[in-house]
Amino acid sequence: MGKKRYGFVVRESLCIDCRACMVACSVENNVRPGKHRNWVRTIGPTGTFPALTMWFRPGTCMHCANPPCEIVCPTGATYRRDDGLVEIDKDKCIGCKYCMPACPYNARYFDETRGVVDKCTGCAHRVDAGEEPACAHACMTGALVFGDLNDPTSKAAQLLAGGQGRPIGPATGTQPQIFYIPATAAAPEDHAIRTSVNTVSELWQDLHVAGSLGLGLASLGALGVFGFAHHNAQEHFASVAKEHELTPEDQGKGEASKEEDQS
Amino acid sequence: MTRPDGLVPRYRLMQRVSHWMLTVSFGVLLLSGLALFIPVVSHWLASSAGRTLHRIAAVGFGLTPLFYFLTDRQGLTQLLRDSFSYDKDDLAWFKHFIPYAFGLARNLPPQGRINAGEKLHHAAIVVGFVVISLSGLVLWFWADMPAEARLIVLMAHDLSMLGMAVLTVGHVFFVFVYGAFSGMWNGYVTELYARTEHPKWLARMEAEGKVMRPER
Repeated sequence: MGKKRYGFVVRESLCIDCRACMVACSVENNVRPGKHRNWVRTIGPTGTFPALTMWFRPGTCMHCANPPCEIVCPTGATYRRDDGLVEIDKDKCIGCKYCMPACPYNARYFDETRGVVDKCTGCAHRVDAGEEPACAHACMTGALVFGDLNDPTSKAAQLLAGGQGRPIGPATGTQPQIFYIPATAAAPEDHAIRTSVNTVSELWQDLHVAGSLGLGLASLGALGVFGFAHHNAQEHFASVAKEHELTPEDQGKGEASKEEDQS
Repeated sequence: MTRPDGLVPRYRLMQRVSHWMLTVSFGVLLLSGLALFIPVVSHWLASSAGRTLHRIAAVGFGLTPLFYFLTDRQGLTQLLRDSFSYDKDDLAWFKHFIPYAFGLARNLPPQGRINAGEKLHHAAIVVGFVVISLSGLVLWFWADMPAEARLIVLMAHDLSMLGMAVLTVGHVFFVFVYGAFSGMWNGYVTELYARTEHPKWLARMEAEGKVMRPER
C-alpha cells in the first residue's frame, strides 16, 4: 500500500445545482455567514433554442499536488499533508493574504472575524476519523465523490479508471486533485481560473527574494566602501579646517565632546 | 593661529522628534514586513502579534507628517521649501555625485541647507510615503478586493518599501561618511561641517548671528 492521494471526482452529469454540498460544508466547518468554502458553477447554457444544454460544476480547493498557495505562504501556514490534503495552520497564518491571488481557483477567502485566510480543508478532521468530507457525504446524486485516488479499490479511483476525468486548468502546473468527468464531450472546459495572476504571484515571490538580497547587497556595498569614503571625507574636512584656520573638534569621535558643549 | 570650531543649530527639538518618530516606525514596518520573505524569520511572525505590531507602527508612520505639522509648522514649511527648490548649484552638484559617494567632495558647487542629493532623496521619500501609505490603507481595510487588484496593490506596497529601504541605506551611509549625525541627535552641527557641506546655509546663519563660537 503506497502513499495516499486524496482527491475528488465530480460526475458533472449528476450535479443538479442543489447546493447541499455548500450548506453541509458551512454547517460542518462553521463557515462564516456570507462566505463559502465551496461552490457550484453553472456552465452554459450552450446551443440554440430549443436545443439548449447547461451543466453544473461543483468545486472547492483543488488540493493541488503543486500548490502555488503553499509556495507563496511566507510563514509555512499553508502546507500539504502527506495524504495530499492542503491545509492552513490557523496558528501560523498571519493574514497577509499573499496566497489569495496565488490560487488560480479563487478557493481562498479572508475570515475577518479570525483574521486568517480560510478555505476547504478536505474535512481533514472527518477524513482522519475514517469518514468522507461533509460535502461528498451530503451529495444526494453522487456527483461529488471523495477518495484515495491511489487506492484502486476506492470509488473515486474506479471512476477515474475510464480516463475521462480532467482537472481544471492543467496548464497552471498546479496539478489539481479534483477530476471532472464531463457530462458529454461537448461540455466546455472551465476557464474561470486565473492563470496569469497565479504566474505573476509566484514571480512576485521570487522578486521578493531578489529584492531582499539586493537590499542586503546594497547594505554590504555601503559598508564596504564606508571606510574609504569616510577617510576621504575626513581629509577633505581637515583641508577646509586648515583653509579657514579652524581647530577641528571631531576627529571622528567628536560626538561626546559636542554633547558636553550642549549641556 | 587657529580658532576653535563653532556650532550651528541645525534641527529644532520637534523636528528631531518627528524624524525619529518616522525612523522608529519605518524600522519596525520594514523589519516586520521584510521578515515575511526570509523563511527562517517569517515563522516568528506566526501569530497576530506581528500583524498588530505592523499596524501600530503604520499608524505612527502615517501620522508623522501631521505630528510634524502640529508641533513645528514653521519647520515643516521650511523643510518643504528647502527640499523642493533647486538652483543652478544644485544641478551642477549632480555631476559630482559619484565622487561624492566615495567621500571625494572637493570642488563641489556650494550647497544650501539641504544639498541637491538630499533634495532628490526627500522627493523620493514623499512619493514612497504616499504610495506605501495609500496601498497599506487599501490592504488593511479592503479585505475582499479582487485578486488582481490585490496583486497590484501588494506590488505597489512592496516596491515602494524596497525603494525607501535602499534610499535609507544611502541616507545612513552619507550621514556617517560626512559626520552629519549630531544635527539630528543634539540639534547642532559643527561650523566646519556646515562650511564644508552647506556653505550657503552657513553664510545665512552667520548673517543671522546664529553661529555659536566658543570663547577663546
